[in-house]
Amino acid sequence: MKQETEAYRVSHPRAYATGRLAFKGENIERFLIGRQLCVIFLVFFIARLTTSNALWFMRGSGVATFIMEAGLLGALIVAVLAQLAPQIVASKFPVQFMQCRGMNSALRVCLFLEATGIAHATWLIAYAWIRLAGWRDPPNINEAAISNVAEVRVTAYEFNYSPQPLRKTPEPYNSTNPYPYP
Amino acid sequence: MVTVLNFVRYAFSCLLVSAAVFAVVAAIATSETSFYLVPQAVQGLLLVIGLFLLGIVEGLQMCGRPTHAHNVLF
Repeated sequence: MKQETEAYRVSHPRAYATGRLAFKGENIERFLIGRQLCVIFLVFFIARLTTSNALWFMRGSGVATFIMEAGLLGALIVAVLAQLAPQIVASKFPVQFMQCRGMNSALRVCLFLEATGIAHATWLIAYAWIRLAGWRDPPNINEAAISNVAEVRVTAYEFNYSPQPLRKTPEPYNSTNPYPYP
Repeated sequence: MVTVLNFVRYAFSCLLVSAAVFAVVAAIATSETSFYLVPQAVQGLLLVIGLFLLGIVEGLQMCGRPTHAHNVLF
């Protein structure tokens, strides 16, 4: 279940602002695309920076030479220090993580990368895939209900037990309509 | 027994990462990397900045990942 952003609006204002930006429109999908571009660029860059020929004390050993020249040590550093550790921390304390300075800027950089259009083919491929598979959203679940499990339960209850279809906006009370609710 | 095994695993991992950091720093110091034309200090700085940015982006992504039912933000 998604945590309500209002719950940390006062205590963690920077996290709240970042969350609000992430929620806007299709920013989640745009962030995922921009974020992946960012990660790939950085990983390739770090790989170039950490891969080298075997050092002087490794040159006699075939295994050590392979490990050094294949970039496995750089991969280990990237995985442990820059990928797994931040992921573990963020999964345990996401609000505190997003409260750190620079998170909003990082999100904006990811959105900007997506907006440049480098990876817009992704949208075409995704839409084509969904279209070909014939996948559709369930008709009875609206967008607000998806983000709130409790609301889905209420909707399902009303759907099952209400004697007639519910009106989304009840008609206003007046003399000609004394019982606006069904 | 489990505690000893965990200690061995932690120690092994820390040793491995330390060795990797040492090897990469040594490679940068001896200008053995692909960026050998760039000064060593700049190479080191670029590496730290790259790792830092990567950490931010990876953590930000985890904030929205629906793995923990109680703390997913987006």
